[in-house]
Amino acid sequence: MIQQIKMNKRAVLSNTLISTVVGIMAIATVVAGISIFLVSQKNAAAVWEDYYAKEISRVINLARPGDEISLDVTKAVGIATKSQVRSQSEIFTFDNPNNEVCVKLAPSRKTCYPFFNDVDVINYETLPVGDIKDGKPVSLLKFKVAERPVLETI
Amino acid sequence: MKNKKAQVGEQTMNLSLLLQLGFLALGIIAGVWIFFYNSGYDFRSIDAELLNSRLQSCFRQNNLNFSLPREEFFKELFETCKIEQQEITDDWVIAIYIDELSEPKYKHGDPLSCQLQSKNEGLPRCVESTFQITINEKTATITLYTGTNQRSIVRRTV
Repeated sequence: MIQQIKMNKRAVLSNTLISTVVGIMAIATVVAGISIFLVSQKNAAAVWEDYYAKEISRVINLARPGDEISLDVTKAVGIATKSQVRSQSEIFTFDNPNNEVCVKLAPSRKTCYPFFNDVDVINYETLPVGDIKDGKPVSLLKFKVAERPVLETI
Repeated sequence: MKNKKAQVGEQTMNLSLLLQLGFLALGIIAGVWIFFYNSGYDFRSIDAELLNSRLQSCFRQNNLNFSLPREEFFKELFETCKIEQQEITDDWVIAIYIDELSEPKYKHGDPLSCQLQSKNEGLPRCVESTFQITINEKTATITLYTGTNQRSIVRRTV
């Protein structure tokens, strides 16, 4: 009789242990999932992509052919570097046939915004310059606004 | 002997805990998503303002032909003002009133949506300007509405 009670106690203990372990594992999984999600949003790459694409489109819409423009894009370059975007030339791209500026601050996506000014954006490059701001080298996006060549129909 | 009902209760408690955690996670993810992505950077008023000022200075500097039919007028307008016509999509509103405000002389999109912009966040944000130009040697008052509902496009890349 005493032996039976002891065995039952062991069974109860092991059941309680299993359910506690399962509960702790569930909590740990959910907390880890939430943490990974929040950390991945910390850079807010999507928000900055949207911001830069729209602000650059504003600059292009205000520009005239012949203008040479330099923009401080240190924040964007910092986010892209942290997000492991492969090369700096991928961060800002201009699609002249579609009148779009595209910004890529995360590896698997880019945000594009159209501009209505009938011009081409040429000679664009993202360059680190010598100045230091907030302990990081300043990066500049340089581009030239050119008159769109008129396509002659035959 | 362990009570069977108690065992069932314990399992149910675990399940309920999991469900609660799941809802908590969903809530946090949805909150972050709505806060950061749903609103975006609302650029519509700025875009509308840019087009308005561009057209305004173009009207002042060029003698546009206001007797042309709609299609031809807009073609001439975009060519003269160096605006890429393809980019002025259905997301855009342009309404040009000459002297009277009852009916626009030329319109692209629905100017009525400009009047309702304060009531619905989904409608285009519009900008209005009034200025005077000379048409056929007479001074005319132009009221120009420009608006847009243009959003950025997110593309998946390799």
